[in-house]
Amino acid sequence: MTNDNLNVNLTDLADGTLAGPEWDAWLAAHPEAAAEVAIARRVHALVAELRAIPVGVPADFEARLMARVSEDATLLDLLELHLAGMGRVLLEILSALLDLLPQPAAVQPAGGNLPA
Amino acid sequence: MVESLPPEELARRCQQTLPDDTRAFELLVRHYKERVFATAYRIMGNRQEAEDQAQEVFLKVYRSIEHLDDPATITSWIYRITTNTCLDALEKQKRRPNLWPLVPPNDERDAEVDYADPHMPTPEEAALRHELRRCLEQTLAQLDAHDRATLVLRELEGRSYQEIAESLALGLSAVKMRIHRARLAFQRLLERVCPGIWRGDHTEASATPTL
Repeated sequence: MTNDNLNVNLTDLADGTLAGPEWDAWLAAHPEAAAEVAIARRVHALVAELRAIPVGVPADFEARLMARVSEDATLLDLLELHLAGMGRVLLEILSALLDLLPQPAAVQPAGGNLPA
Repeated sequence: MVESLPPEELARRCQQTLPDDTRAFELLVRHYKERVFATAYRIMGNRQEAEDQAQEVFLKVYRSIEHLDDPATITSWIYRITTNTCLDALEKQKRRPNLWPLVPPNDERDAEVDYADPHMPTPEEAALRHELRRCLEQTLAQLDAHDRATLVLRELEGRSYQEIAESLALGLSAVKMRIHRARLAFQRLLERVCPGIWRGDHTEASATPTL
């Protein structure tokens, strides 16, 4: 078993997703691995102790968030209006520039001699 | 009636009604705010940063929920945004002077956290439990940010290996390896932060069952 595979299995053993007499026997035959599993199980139990500490959400959390959402929506609207406005201005400038360009001369037929 | 909708249905409603109507989004926030705030608090290490990042998380949800392909994955998706937002914020903190201590002074934490526990009958036992929790929180706060995020998702939020894999953009095997290494790192650090706790010199720690 590679070290990586071993770590994967040790997590499964610590969390009980791998269990049974064959694994008990395997752990008994591998004291270093068994020691790591014991550490992992105890850390699991210790850290879970922190779940008991309530982490209260600030009272005005939702109000602040919805105010920011509203600002966000307003900004997006303004940006859309701004971009739409800019687009219109750009089109007008382009159109004015095209008007300034010299109109192409009428095409003369080849030979230059007009029929009588 | 909308209040009783499951989160995936709320997500679907958000996709249909935002940005014009925010009612479904408000219910989604109400459903997830405790989990998002608690996860952010555990990863960031203080309330102010946790609130800032939790707000960022919900703004990102608001802006991008329309791109969520499968509303059934809303919970994993929100955990993923929370973890990434907090880890990014910690990464930015590394590049600038530290404005917030990762572990606030004890008096600040004591004012915020209610350690009262009806199962602890004597003041002495309550004090021991308080001390144990302080040690555990300090150890968690000093752990490498990725190890901390992994332990928070697994041990405190009770997420499955698959959900953690999705949150941290890792494979299943990599998640299991990381959980194991994070637990071993936590034990080594705990021995440094609060010598004696691990060996069971501390009454409360020794009372914690050794499995």
